[in-house]
Amino acid sequence: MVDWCRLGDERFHHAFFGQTVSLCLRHPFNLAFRKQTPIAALGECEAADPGLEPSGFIFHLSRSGSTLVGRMFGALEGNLVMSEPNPVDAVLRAPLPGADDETRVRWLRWLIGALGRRWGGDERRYFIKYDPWAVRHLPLFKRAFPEVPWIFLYRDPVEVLVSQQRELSYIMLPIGAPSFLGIDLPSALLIPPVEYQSRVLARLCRAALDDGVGPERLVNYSELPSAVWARIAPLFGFEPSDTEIERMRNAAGVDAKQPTQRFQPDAAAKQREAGAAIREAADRWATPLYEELEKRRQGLVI
Amino acid sequence: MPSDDFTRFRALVDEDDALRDELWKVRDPEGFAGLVVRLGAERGLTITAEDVRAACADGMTAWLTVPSFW
Repeated sequence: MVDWCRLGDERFHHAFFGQTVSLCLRHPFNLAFRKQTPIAALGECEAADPGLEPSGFIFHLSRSGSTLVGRMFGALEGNLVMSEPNPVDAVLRAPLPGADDETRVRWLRWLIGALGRRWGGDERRYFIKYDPWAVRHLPLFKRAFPEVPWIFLYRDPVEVLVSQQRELSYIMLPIGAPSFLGIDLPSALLIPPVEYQSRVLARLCRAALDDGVGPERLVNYSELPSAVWARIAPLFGFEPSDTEIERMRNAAGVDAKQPTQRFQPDAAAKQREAGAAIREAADRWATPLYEELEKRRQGLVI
Repeated sequence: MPSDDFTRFRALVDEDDALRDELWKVRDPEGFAGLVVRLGAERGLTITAEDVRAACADGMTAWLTVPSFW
């Protein structure tokens, strides 16, 4: 089933899709007249109006600058950015009856099409930043959208783990261990948290590596923000003008998740903050895969 | 359980763009409940403010159980 939420004049300009929806749920209309339809209604939407064809997909390792990239694209007129739209996760992962890969591919096309509307009237390009787990489903995305370019954005696992200690992402909760890591929950709960988190990062890096990702699709946090206009935008089919680059620079000057704070690259600070447990966990699980990604990005491995 | 008249009104809302637009204009919960009561009465339906509040509560509970949302 699909749950529908009326947007009114609201638009998807918050850091996350869920924030926009939460805001709309404050309106009593969306509570009293909550609407549900079978998912086939999305297929009818697509048949009536296919919506915008996606311009590019952003997969990422978490805490690697993906929200910043989305914000920079969102700063340009004509760009629609969907940031971690929750229903995609439901299509990919939910244990839905009859949902084989072919069905999920079809649903994915319907859903991405339904979200890719000209909400403001002038959108021409459409970007989707997925949640970190989505990279595990790259083969499905490639089947559903073989022509759509994508990137995998990542970062030194030590820095990601430091960030996770400050504020834990839901992807790091062991509840996901059975499906994500093939570890039963009681066993997962015995794993020290930092080690568990490093294993999650390793799993995400492995998913990108298993896909045979090439250097053009790999973007390291250390390349931000200039990689957005110099590498990612051209890969996604547009060459930003000088004015647009200036807008993106301005957007990059603001912390992506806390717009009132200035964004500052913080790799050095996070490296200083990392203790022995973080370094040990990173070295054992995620860093070797990160190093493989780095070799690929630098063209050292074909 | 919503009253039969509230259920009938919901069906009208599903079918009527203009009615949805009118309901969307009022955001505060009490004003919204009053609007639903009035618009229902104009259509021969007996809806109470309590019906509307209960529907909002049910809707919130239902949203909280959408597995992919939270």
